[in-house]
Amino acid sequence: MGETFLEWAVFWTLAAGAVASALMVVAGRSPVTCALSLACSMIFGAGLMVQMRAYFIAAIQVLVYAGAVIVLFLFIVMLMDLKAEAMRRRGGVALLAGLAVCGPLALAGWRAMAPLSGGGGPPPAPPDEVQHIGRLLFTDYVLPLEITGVLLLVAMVGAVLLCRPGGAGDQEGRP
Amino acid sequence: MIVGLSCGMLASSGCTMPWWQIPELCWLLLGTVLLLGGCWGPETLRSRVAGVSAALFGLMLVLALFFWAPGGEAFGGFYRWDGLSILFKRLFLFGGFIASWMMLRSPDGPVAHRVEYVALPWFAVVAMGLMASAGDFAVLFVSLETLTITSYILVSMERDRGTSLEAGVKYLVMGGLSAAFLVYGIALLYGSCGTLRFDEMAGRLPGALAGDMGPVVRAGLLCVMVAVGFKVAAAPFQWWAPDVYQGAPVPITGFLAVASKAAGFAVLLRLLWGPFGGVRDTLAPMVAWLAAASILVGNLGALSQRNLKRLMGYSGIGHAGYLLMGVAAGSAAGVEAVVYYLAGYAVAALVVLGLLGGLVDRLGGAEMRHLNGLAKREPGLAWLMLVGLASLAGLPPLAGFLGKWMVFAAAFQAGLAWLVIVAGVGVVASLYYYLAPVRNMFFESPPPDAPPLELDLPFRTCVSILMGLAIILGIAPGPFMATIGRLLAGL
Amino acid sequence: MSFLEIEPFRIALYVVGALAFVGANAAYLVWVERKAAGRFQRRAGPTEVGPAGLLQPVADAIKLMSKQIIVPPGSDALLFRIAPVMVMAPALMCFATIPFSDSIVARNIDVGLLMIFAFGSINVMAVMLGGWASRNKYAIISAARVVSQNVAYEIPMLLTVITMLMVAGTLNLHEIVKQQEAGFWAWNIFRLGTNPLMPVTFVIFFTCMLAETNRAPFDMAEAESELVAGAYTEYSGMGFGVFFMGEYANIVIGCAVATVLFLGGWGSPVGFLPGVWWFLAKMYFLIFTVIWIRWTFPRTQFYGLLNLSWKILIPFSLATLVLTSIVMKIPRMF
Repeated sequence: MGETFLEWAVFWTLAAGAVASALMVVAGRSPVTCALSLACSMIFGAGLMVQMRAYFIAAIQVLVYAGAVIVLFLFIVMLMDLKAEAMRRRGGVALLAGLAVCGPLALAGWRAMAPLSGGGGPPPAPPDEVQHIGRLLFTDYVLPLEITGVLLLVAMVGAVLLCRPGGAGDQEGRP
Repeated sequence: MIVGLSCGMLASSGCTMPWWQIPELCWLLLGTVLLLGGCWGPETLRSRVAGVSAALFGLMLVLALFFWAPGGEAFGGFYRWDGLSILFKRLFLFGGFIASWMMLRSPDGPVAHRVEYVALPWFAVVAMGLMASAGDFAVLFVSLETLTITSYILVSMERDRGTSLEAGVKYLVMGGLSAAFLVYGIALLYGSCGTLRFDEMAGRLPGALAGDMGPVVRAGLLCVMVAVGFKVAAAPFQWWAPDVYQGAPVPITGFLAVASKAAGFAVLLRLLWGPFGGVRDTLAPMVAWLAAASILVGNLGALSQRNLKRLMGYSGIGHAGYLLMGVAAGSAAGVEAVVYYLAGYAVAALVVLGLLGGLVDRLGGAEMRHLNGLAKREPGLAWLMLVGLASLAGLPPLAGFLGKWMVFAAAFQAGLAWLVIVAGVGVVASLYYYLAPVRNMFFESPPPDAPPLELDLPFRTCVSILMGLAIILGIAPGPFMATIGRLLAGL
Repeated sequence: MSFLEIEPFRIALYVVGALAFVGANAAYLVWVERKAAGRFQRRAGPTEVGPAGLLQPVADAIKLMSKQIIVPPGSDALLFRIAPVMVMAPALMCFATIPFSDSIVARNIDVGLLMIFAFGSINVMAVMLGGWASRNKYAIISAARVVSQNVAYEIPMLLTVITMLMVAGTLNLHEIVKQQEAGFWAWNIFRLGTNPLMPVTFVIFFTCMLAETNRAPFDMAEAESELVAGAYTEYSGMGFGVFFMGEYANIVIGCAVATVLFLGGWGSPVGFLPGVWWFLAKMYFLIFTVIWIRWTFPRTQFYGLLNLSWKILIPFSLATLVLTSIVMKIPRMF
């Protein structure tokens, strides 16, 4: 009983935290708060994955999202002038649109999950999870992996191009 | 070696082919070489990089047209080499070829001479080719992302110009949203089917739709279709298209209008005749509604436009609607009509945008009034433009007419008479706005101090060839339709 | 069921233990640092409170705790208060996976190494938020520096870690140490058979660790001669104190990871004394080196710092990665 109660409590704490911070992302006034809430949501999500024994995904989620993506995101937000942005109010239309998209999705999820409830958790990840993922990535999924390489190359070229001082049309900026 | 790499296909009509034979690899190498060569290569290469790129695109197109034979797959089924992908890859190469030809003489400003401007379309074509060949949602997603990121860069390349930057940002936000929909939809489908492979999903999806997971499958399908809708600029996911078309440099507008739209349809066909094959009847009404909305929004929105690039953006939405009609028909004839329509649209749109690209700085802008009196200044160009616009409007005997005819016929046969009526309204509206520039060209007088319009011979040749194609496709579609029919036989 | 097997008690025990460890380390490393700095500069360092100034940290702690925490007007009060917490909490998580000896480890997780880097990367966000929330120009400059510096140095650091992972074949820190138990020649830093550049890899890792923890000569974030105290300028009392503890905790973690990855963890080169002492000895030696470097080298220029990472460390770490994979692949080809 103790163990299960603990798991139950941890699950609901994490889930509530994830949802609450996700709501903060859209409801927050200052973009920095929003970004920080996004990071929190990611970390809560990682916690849920830990509960499902998917340690690798959890660690990657924290490392990539909270550690890298959100940091860069905050960095950009920080360098902008946020006075106008912070004052902005969200209109009812945005709220309606959000509800229109999220409502049906939530309903679909609910209706699909309802027959499954009580049916135990997901199967535990294999003990050599990391090797397993690595092997899959470099055998079956090698094509998507390599395309991701192209994606990063293109993104890098674009970042250099668009951030070059003097504008993209500047001939002097050549290496 | 390049030839060898790209023709390796003709030898392999068996079941699997070695990974190094996929043509995207060759294109990727060429793009990288152009990028590096343009940065650090000898001065002679650096000054001619656009020409080299156009020539290589032409070479690849010739190889693709004459040496490719369908059959086989690579990477354990992650990469399909079938008729559908071959047809679309040819179309992408064609778009890249014309776009880089237009770059030879893009007077859009100093950007034209940047090597990235020339090399990035190669990466885009690689991504599109992989999208058309995808046999797995993972491949589809990452190649789609590669394409969109390349497009953001190409669109916002002229950072100094406000509209270009605005277009880039809008495209980025919309693209981000669409990627979110796609990945969410894929996740839901994976959750309900337990696979990302197209062939496996095709078998499991109908069962999953009927079972307990039905709502999840439905939500997943909806999300994926929304993402594809964004990609092909179908209403109500079209907001980005006019701004992006207007803001991008003209060759890039042409490239996006033709190749990127074709890539979206490649994905749509691939999905509907692949993993979603079993639930196509469920999705067909949705596609039909998208088609109707796009036709109305695109054609009615275009009526009030005064900027030709923006007009092409709205009319592109309308054309996406006509194309979706062919998809909604759900028949083999519909798919063939879609491919034919895409080719006809590509040729005609590139005639208009190509001429615009060549002339825009001499004319002083891309507004309609800048075309005033073009017939008196350069009768030949005005007639070329007329043919392009007429083909887009769907006047016989041009490719646009036949394409619309075939699409309408396919939709009608599928029992979508209401959709054909909506499309008829769209066509009537489109006549008005496509012929508006014609009035400017032929019945207005040129501005008094108009400078002479100099357009070099290669450029005139390019546009003339495109016009010739528009006419030939319209008059004698036989061989072309035969190729389409042969390549799509196994669909 | 023994007391230790009940999960909540274990967690509580761990948190208390880790906090005590971090607190004691922070307090006495400051003392060591001040003493060492004194020696380097031919002066005595703290002498007044207690014998040889040993009670100085206690006095400092009391002072910090009794001071008022001032939230500057115009700042983002919530973020200003959260930031110090966000430095400490991830650091505590990291200690959970470090194996101090064969038996002393809080949680032997399969992806322990990954977890340390995951939580270690949150540190940047905390310092940045602290700087940003202060609404102080020095703090904001410091925050911008912290991010560009950490992003730049995270790449070579993770590349060297990947190199080590290829050698070890596991992310479990306990396993990694087990593989090096045979003797000091089996320590990764000396395993030239797998990669002749192994000492170079260690140096790259150590350099990156210095930069990641904002230590001299890479302490651009709180360069006191230009930025007052950087991101910490507006913090007083325990706000500053927690930041400071977090910083020392990160140094301890960095040195512990270096010990595990390269220096054989608790493995003893000669065979006497229990492993935990050897682990601590190696770790404190590395920490002392960190202090030593701080008082020996002048602070670098910011552009020099970024150039070092992008133009030297990243290419070299990539080279070691490629070299290691080739060396590992060759025997399998025959």
